[in-house]
Amino acid sequence: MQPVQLAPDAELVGALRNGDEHAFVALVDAYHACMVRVATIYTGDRAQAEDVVQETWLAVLKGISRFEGRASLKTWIFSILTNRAKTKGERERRSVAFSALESPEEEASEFEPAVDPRCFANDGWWLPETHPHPWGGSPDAAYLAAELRECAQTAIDVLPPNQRQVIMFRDVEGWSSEEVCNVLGVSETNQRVLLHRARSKVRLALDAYINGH
Amino acid sequence: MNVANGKRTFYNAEWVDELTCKEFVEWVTDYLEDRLPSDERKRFDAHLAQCSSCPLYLEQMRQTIQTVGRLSDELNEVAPEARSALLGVFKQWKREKPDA
Repeated sequence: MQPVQLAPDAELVGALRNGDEHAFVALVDAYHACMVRVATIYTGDRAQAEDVVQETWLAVLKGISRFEGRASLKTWIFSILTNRAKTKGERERRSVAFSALESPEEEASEFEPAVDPRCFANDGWWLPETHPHPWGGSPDAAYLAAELRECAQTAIDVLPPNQRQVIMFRDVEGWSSEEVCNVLGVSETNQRVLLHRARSKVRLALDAYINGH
Repeated sequence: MNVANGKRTFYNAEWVDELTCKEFVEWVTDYLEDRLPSDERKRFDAHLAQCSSCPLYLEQMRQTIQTVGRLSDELNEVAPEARSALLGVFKQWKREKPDA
């Protein structure tokens, strides 16, 4: 979630075009850390991710005079970033899952169940051995909450890149589905499919951790 | 969406096609995004009212989203080296840009 309240796009764009360093610093403070997280999805390596993000900022500055405001400044910046990170990731031949090479549209079009089908009987109802158990109320103990966050982060880190990016934008950063669709160039429906899969996998990881199976 | 399994159930003063648990878990995201069409929504609500397991699944999903949402709290610092490198990039760009 953004801690900084940024000025409206028109104001920021105007200030940048005038060479206003404060506007640039405000944007960096707002987005840089998230940009590094996103780039890391594709580069794997954090140092490479930092390089990609730095290149992106330069591309943003060089392109700001041509920015037409059809998309928001945020989605424009992250589009540039995502494209560069994907290109660099492929060029460096990072070992990423096969599905990283798929477009989000291709990935979303193949069915993948949210829950292992073996958890259900033939008539589609939960089997007694596999039905969900309560997780209990929100844990008060800070350490347990921290462990759950770590479990969730680990589960996110091993998601296929498209799913990882969607859950990061939507649930970690709190972006709207429209913003995510703009950056990834994916339809609303397919964005939701990717989000569904990502959340299902994280739920499974948390359930395994909490209920120990 | 999925074809009904042929059974109907009476919920909220009307008959709706029964949803199975296996179908329910696939609809959870659409439900939370408020994207279920109204007929599907009725089937989903009916199942929620009549199944003892699926409300737990839905709650788990909500808690998952909540846990993931807290991941951003810790992660928003820009490393000092990165910041000074970027200021360098900015200053150079400013010097070199056509209308500088």
